Amino acid sequence: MDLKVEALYKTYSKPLSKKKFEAVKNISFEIATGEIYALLGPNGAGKSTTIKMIAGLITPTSGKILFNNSAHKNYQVLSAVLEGSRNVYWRLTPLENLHYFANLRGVPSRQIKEKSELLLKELEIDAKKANQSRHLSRGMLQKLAIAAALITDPQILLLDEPTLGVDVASARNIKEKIRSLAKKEGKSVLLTTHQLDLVDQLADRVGIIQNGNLVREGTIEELKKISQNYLYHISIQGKFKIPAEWKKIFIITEIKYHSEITEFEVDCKTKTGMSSILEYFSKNKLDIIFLQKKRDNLEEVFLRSLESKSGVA
Amino acid sequence: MKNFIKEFLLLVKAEFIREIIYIKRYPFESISFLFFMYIILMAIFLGMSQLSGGGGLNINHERMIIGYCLMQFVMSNQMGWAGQISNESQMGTLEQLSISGHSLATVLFARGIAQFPRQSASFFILMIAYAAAMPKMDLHLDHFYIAFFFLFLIALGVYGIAYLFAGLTLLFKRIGFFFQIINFAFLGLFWQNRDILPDGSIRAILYDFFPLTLGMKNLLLVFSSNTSSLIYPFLNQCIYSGIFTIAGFYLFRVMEKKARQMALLSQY
Repeated sequence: MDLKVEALYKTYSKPLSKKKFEAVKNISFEIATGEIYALLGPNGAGKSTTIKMIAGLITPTSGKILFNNSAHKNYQVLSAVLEGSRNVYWRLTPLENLHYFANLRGVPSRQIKEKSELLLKELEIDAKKANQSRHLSRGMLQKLAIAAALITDPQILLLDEPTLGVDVASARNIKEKIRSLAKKEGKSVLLTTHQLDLVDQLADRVGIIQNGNLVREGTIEELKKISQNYLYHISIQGKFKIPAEWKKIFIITEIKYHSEITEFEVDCKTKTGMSSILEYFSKNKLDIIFLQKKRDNLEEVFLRSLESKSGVA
Repeated sequence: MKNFIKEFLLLVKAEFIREIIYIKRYPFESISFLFFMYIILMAIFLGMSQLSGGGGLNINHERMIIGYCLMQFVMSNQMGWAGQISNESQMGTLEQLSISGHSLATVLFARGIAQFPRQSASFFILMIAYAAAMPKMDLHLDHFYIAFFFLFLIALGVYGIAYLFAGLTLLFKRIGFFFQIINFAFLGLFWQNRDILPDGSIRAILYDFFPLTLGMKNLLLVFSSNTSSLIYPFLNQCIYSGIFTIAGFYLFRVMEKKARQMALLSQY
C-alpha cells in the first residue's frame, strides 16, 4: 500500500501567547509498496512529529496524508511503534499483551492465537512468553512492541527509533524482520532513526529533515552522488610550502606541520584536480607518505546536508 | 453500525480478559481494598458510638452504609479513568490506544463495562459484610437483583463525570489533588440528608439530579421493604444517567480532539 504525505504542516501555539512554533514545515514525500523509507535528522528536527501525524496521534495543522491516494484513514492498514519500548502493558505477559492488542484492533478471534505464537517465535520472544513483560530486557520489550504492532498484519508500518538502546543481537533480529516485512511481505515501512548504519543497511530511500524542513531526499546512492566531493587528506615528507597558485584553484585546509611531515586537506573541486597535484609532487620529487580520498559515507552526506542551508531538495 | 458493535464487543472482551488476569494475578489487591474499606466505616461507627458516650447518635445507619458502599463504587469509577489516563500516558500505552482506530472515549466506556462486574461485586460484598455485622438494620439484601440494574444505571451516570475528569487529565496531566478536593465535596453529598434541604436550593437541585445522589436515594428505596413503586425512580435514573453519560462522552471527545491538536497524547 502506498503512503503519500502532501504539504504537511504542524504549528504549535503556546497558551496565552501569540508566539507560534513551527515543528513541521511543508513536508511532502511518498512511500511505495514494499519500500523502506528512513527519515533522518537531528533531535527536534520534526521526525517524530511527522510520524505521529501519520499515525493519527497528532492532528496536522494542514496537509494531506493519503493511503493509496485516499484520504480516508483506515487504521487497520497502519501500525506504529513509537518512542522506544514502553508501548506494552508491563503486568501482562507477552502473549497476553498480543491477545489484548489483537482484540483492541479487531483481529478475528480464530486468528489471534496462531498469529501471536508465530510473531513471538519470529521475533525470538517465545521463550519468555509466559513471563510478565516488566521482567523483559529492553531489547525484548522493543521486539514485543513490534510484535504488537504486527498483530493486525498492517500494510504500513511506522517505526520510531526501532533499535535505539537495543543490544547487538536483538538489533540484528529487528533489522532482519523489518527487511523481510518490506521485501517478502510487501509492507511499506517508514522509520526514523539517528543510527546511520541502520539506514545504510535497510533504507531504500532517505529523507533528511532539519528544522521541520525536508532538506534532502533520494536513495542513498543518489544522496552520496549529490554530495560527492573531491576532498583529499595528504601527508608529505618534510616541510612543504603550499604553492600560491593552488590557493587560487583549490581549497586548502587543516595545514599542520609536524617535525618531518606536512599534513593538509585539499578540496580539488573537480575530478581532474588531483592529477595536477600529483604531477607537481612528481616534478618536485616530493615524497608522499599518505594520500586518501575522504569517503562519501552517509554520515558525511547527512552532515553536509545539515550544513547546506540552501540545499532544499 | 454492525461493524462498530462487533469491534466494541471485541474491545470489551479485551478489557474484561485483562481485568480477570489482574484479579487472578493480584488477588490480595482486591481483597485488601475491600477489607480496608470495611474497616474504615466500622471505625467511623465505633468513633461515633464513643463520642456519644454509648448513648447512640441520631443517625440513619442504612443511609450511611448504602452511601458509603456507593461512594467506593463511584470513586473507583470516577478516579479510575483519570488515574488510568495518567498512568498510561507515562507508560506509553496511551499512544497505542490513541492510534488503535477507536476513540479514547470508546476505549474508556468499554473499560467501564468490563470493570462493572468487579465493582458491583465489591459493592454487594461490602453491603453483605455490614449487614452481617449489624443485623438490626432494615436492609433487604434479597432485592439485590433490582439493585444491580440501578447500580448499572448509576455507573452510566458516573461515567459522565469520569469522562470529565479523564478529559481534564488528558489536557493537564497531573491534577490528582484537584480531584481529591472534588471528591471531598462528593463525600459530603453522600451523607447529606435530603429532607433537611430547602426545595429549590442549589444543594437540593444537585442532590435531586446528580446520578450518584439520585442513585443513593433510589438504592435506599430498593433496599427498603417496599419495592412496589420503582418504575418511576428507574425511569428517572435512566434519563439523568443517560444525560450525564452522553454529555460526558461528547465533552471528552472535544477534549480528546484538543489533546490530539496539542500533541498531548504522546508518552510524557
